[in-house]
Amino acid sequence: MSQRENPQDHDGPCRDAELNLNNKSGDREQADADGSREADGAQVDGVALDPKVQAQLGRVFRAYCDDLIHQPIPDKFTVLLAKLEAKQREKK
Amino acid sequence: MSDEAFGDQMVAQMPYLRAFAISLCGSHSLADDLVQDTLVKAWSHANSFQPNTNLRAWLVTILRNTYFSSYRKRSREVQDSDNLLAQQIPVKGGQESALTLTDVQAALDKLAPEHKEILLMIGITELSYEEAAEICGVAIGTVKSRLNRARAKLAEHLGLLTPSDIDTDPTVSDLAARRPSRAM
Repeated sequence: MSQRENPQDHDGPCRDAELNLNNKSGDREQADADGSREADGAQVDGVALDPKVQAQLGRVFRAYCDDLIHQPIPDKFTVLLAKLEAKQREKK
Repeated sequence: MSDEAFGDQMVAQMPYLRAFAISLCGSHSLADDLVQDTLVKAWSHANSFQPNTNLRAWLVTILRNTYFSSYRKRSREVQDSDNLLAQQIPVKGGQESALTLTDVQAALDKLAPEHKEILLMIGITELSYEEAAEICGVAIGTVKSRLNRARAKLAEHLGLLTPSDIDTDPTVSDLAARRPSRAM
């Protein structure tokens, strides 16, 4: 397989929290949008957004992401995953 | 990791994986094919996953590479053929209140692919800049710069700003920057 498969070691303790679907990350997006997360990020390549626009964009994009993340997972995937797991067991 | 533990963790990643696929493809049906391919590949290479690393980042890597190798052309053909999202974004006041999530999808689809994927990796799958950089094979600085360009373009496509805002010299004061829009 050609994929670069090992994203190495950036597996911080916060990962568990991200598995929680109710954990809205609006705060994170907000922090990101107003540039407080990285000092050099807000004006890279001369691209600078008005803070109000950043806040609007953050809200709109967060609503979009949350809607997608909360869409119900079709049963066919649960079935497929169970089959794949069973197949893996047979191999051993 | 036992097969059972691996399987359970895969199930837990499904919402993020599918959301990422839908947004990339702009189509539910194509996204579901892509997710299915990704799951099959992930299980057949399960032994190459290193326990204690981020499974979501590993799955996103597989999905993203599968998308660019076999789905991207198809996604251009089927986009807009099914209704992904119709919900009005509940934002009080402001000019963005009339936007729908479909508008956001349409605006995302106009972005350069390398900008769109970064935005989705950070926004939907909540990967770190380091993970996104690793997956795309670029430096972290490039991730940050693409993210900023992606945000600026997205704001423009959503009509949140006028095109002249984008290249505004950051040293110019707000007042001066806005003067042209005031018809006297």
